[in-house]
Amino acid sequence: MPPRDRILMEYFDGELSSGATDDVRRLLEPGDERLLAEWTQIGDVVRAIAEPGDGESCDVAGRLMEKIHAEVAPDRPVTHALYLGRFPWRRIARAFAPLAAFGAAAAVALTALSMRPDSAPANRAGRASSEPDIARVASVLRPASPPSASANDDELSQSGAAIEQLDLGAAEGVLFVVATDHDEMPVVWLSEGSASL
Amino acid sequence: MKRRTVALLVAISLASVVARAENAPGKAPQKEPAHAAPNLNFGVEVVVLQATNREGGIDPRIGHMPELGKPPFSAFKTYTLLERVRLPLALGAPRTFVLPNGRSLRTILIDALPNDTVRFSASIDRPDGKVFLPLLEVKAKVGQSFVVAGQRHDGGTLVLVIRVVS
Repeated sequence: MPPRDRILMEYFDGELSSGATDDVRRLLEPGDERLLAEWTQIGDVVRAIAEPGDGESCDVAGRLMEKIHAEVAPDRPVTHALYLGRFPWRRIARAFAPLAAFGAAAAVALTALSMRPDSAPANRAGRASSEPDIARVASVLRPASPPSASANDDELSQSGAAIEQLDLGAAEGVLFVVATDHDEMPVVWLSEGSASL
Repeated sequence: MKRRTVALLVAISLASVVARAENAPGKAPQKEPAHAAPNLNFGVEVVVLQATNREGGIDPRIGHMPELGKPPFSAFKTYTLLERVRLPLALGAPRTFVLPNGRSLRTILIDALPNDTVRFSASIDRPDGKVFLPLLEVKAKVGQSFVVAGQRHDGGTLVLVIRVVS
């Protein structure tokens, strides 16, 4: 990691002395400010995923979707139909990989609602109208740091399973990727909020 | 020798010559398929975990699963192994497994691809037969896995780790 990025991360995490903090603050450039703002957004999302509620059962999906609704699309519902074959979630997952360096998990969150089981083709046809919403979610979740130059698409294609299509029906849920040092694992986290046995 | 017999012998000789010409060293060999033939002996291993915030830690029977130490999985204090089953994947033959919460996980092979890769679908039905999770279509190699989590069960959350096996 370049020394500048490391210092910026230490500054972001509040790990610098007060003198060093002042120095960094004075030397911040516009690009650094953007990076810090995006780290803050990512941190909010990761915390939304990671922090359990008071109850025994942790409604990760619900809290994450609330977060996305609040930050991304206050005026419009977030994606209702999601066909993942064309969505670059792998690229986003790769972009999240640097987060592991400072102790956060890689996570991409998207939401999907209400695709009738018997109307998948219609929803696929209609996904174009959904994509701007997906893009907006992605833009919030995408960190500024570019992916590692060594990570190419071939490596990524070998690194984990690919969820190509997801229909959550009447349920709600989120799709994200958890990355470890050696693998990426897609996770569909369903919300039981509106569903029961 | 009758004329018909002579004709037959000529035909056999011609066939032999043609066959030898096909196998001649100068003849370009037939192209091998780009990939090995797909392995049709696939299955999925379903590891059913229950996540809770009770004290207990990670059940050692789960084995090595570093993802459980990452958010959002790390939000739970305890992971208990409830079941571990293998379901064969076959074209046109869905396999069903009843989850601890009474719902049914159904898997079916869509396509066996080269390089130990499969495309299959999973869905979850409620006990009354209605669909809970209509469709999850996955492409994965042997050894790769994905997770379906979030269903409530017995004061905790079910985490289904689904891994392709051969």
